[in-house]
Amino acid sequence: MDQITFSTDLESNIRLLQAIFQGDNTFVTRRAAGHKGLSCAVFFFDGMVNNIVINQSVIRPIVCSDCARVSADELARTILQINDSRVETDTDKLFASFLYGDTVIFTEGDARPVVVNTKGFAVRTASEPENERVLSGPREGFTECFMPNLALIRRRLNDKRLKFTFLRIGSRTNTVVCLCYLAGVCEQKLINYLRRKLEALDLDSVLDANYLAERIRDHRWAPFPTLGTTERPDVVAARLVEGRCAVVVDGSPVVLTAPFLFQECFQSNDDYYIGFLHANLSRVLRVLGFVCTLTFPALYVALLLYHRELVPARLLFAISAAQRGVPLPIGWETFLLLLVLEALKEAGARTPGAMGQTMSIVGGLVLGQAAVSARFAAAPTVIVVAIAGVTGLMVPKLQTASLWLRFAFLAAAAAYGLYGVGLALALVLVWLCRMHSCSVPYLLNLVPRIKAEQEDAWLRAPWFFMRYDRFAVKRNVRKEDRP
Amino acid sequence: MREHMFARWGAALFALLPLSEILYIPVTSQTVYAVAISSLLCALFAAGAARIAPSWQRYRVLQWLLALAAVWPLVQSLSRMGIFLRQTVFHTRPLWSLLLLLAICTLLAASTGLNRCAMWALPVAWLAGAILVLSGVLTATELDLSYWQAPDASLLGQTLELMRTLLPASIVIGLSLPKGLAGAASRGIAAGGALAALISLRTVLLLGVHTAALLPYPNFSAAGLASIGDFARHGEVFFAVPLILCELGRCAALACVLLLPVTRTYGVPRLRRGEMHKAKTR
Amino acid sequence: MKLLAKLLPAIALVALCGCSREVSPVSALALDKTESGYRLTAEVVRQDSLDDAASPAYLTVSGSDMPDLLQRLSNLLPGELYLSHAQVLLLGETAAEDSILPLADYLCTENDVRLSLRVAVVRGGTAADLMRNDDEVYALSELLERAAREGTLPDMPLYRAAEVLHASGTAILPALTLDEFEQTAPAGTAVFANSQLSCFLDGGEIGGGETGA
Repeated sequence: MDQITFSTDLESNIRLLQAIFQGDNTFVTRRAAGHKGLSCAVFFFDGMVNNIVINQSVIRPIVCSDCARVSADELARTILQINDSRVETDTDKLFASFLYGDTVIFTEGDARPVVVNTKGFAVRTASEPENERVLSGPREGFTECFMPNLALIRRRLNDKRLKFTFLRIGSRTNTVVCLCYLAGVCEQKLINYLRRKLEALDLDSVLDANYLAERIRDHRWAPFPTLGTTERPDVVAARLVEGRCAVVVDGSPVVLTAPFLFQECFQSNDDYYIGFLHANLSRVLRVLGFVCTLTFPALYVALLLYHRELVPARLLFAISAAQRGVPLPIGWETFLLLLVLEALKEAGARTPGAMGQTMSIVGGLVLGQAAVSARFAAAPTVIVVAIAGVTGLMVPKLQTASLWLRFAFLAAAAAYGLYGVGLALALVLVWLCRMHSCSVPYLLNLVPRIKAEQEDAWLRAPWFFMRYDRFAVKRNVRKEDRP
Repeated sequence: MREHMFARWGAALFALLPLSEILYIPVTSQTVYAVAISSLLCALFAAGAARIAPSWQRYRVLQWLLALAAVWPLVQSLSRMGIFLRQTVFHTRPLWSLLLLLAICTLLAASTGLNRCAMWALPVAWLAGAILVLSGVLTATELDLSYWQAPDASLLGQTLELMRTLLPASIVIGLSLPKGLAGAASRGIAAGGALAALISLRTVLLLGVHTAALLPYPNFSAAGLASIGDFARHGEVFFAVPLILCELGRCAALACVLLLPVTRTYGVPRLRRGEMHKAKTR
Repeated sequence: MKLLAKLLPAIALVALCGCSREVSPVSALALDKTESGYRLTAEVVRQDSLDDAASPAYLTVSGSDMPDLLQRLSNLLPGELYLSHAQVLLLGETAAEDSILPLADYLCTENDVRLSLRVAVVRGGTAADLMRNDDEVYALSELLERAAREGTLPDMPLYRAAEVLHASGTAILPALTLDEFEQTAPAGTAVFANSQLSCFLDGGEIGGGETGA
């Protein structure tokens, strides 16, 4: 924005601001005069402010004032009856606050504006996030509103070392981004690393956390997530305690956490709120589900193309009978059915609730049955693809990986059978081994250096068994810094 | 995080060496003893090599020598893997295409450096171990103890034969280790060798000496007799896949050693300019 | 590397085109000796739809030895000859009177054939007739397996038979016959000496008694 200079003349300041916001009908200018001659102009955006606060804490004190002429300092200190008011000389900060729901007040004879916190736009209540539901445990979720989100985190971490560092990103949106961490618990190197990455961003707009996530994450082309995302304040609090950093973006209910380790893909919030026996069974099922969704179609194709001797005789006869008359080779048939499954999932996700259910029934049952009857596809292939689809939903954080790798494994199986699947799995493991998230190895605890690192890796140890320094991220912190 | 090879990872990497021999060992009544003895000897040699490795790696010439020494076991591993795949499953595929596939996989794995290969070896070694144990357990009821024979004179020949394939790789990788991993190297080879010996014993007690001698890959064929009900009869592929991965790990480690003289730091491939910049800014 | 990344999807799609020939799974084999050589009858399984039961079809070829027979059988079949699911090999009496060691060696080294293939000798009549007698797929292998489990017939899969034949040339294999009701029934054991059928022992005589043939 060009340099703007205000004058001591109130009328010229009013004209200047009206010229800047010409054409914006939500821009409101309110002249207020005291009965002893105090003359002020109040500027705000309709809909962004709390009208009651403006009437009672700004307009009324000015109108009732006994002063004839006051400076901006006196106006802020002695007349306005509000908790947050200040004289702002930096025009960039002034406009950032003004555009975000604060009220600007000019007084006759002073070129410096007073900024008053009168934000009052409509916000969503902190309801439970749809995609991170829990059976038991806290049910609050972040909203699109920035400060309440930070309050939700602070409410859970009553620690004086909890730091919120603000940055502004996006030349057009000028979005506030907050870097949260527990000083002394989180490694300083990690904080600096993330801060540098965020400050280096040159963006026009930041409308959601994902705008940043894709830019600041390591291994941008990998289908595995290297930054955590959550809409739950309890999860953010837990990760901060473990020595991680969080990035809160104004206007987004999604909070980013870093570093993010592979094991976190299989962790669910419920794991920590229900008994460890149940939690661990669920976690094992999730791991199996992921392996199943990746390899099941590939194994099916590999067995039928190269290793039929492994299939029980009667099952093989039945599958061969079902395959008879299907026009496509088994590899293509499975590939196309997987594509249809993804299309159905996409349609279901974008369709309103009741219609979505209908879509699932029509797509899944009717279409599947019809395809088998018409010999477009073999019934066993439909079953295999359906199992891959269902198990793919068990680990939502790895859906991208499941989607892409499933096809890669399928191709490997079609080309080299079970050996191809084995080699593909090995290469994926190689890939995972070389991955980092914010300089921390991605498989840190899954391929452990020492036993203690496994307490919350594959399985969660019971709380009474878990040692304090169970997380390797935190173990890097000096002992004297530990709370 | 600095590049560092931890003892577990190192042990797992060395465990892959005897495990990767399992598919190709000709099984006789003396194999169990031969595998046990050769593994123990290789464990000792590998530990000795790991002990002198730091001083060895100081000299560029010796690094080049080591890289040259890695060529033979690497070529041997790749070729026997390719031949195995061709003979057992891909009868119609040209051998070169299988070798090309394996070489690409090896290079991809090796491009991560020896430390990451060792990290990768840990889950692979566990998987292979689990499959071997499972295979052994499933055939335990079929074993015939009368096939067991005491050591005889042919033991020496078979031990030397095994040493010829196992020792070069053990020494080459042992000489490439960072310091302090001598114990891990010997533990890994001993553990892998124990599993290899047990699985050879299983083959002898299951098939008998004469039937085993008929088969090109006796351990592999014997694994086909393990089944769970009507499922996975003839399931030797399940047995072979983890062992092929072990062999791939061995190839990747050897390829890392081969690349050693052209890498900037020990075991980590030279970073490209972009990556160097990234590393500095971290 | 970039070129490889661009080529990968194309390679993957080409890989998916891999199409196997329709297989003709064989569930049992019967080998008889003829004047000019050997006759091999294969029980090929066919199932046309998911609702149907698997039914056997029988194909017969003549040849000089097992590799030749299998080659001729393969040429005869519409699909790929598939021996991995074969569970029984029946030997006619006359075929068993030749040395079965080369046959055992060949079957052991044949990739497709299971080492657990059960070998039985048919006592009286031809192996092909006994195999054709039962219309149910795998009825013979289930009979042999049950009898081995119960101890009424020797438990002698291919790999064990090959081992004992190599070790001493002496082996006992299960014997089957068609009883008076034209049902397949155990018929004691076939004793091999020098890898050739020497005699049969009746069920009650396995422990040592008078020979029955």
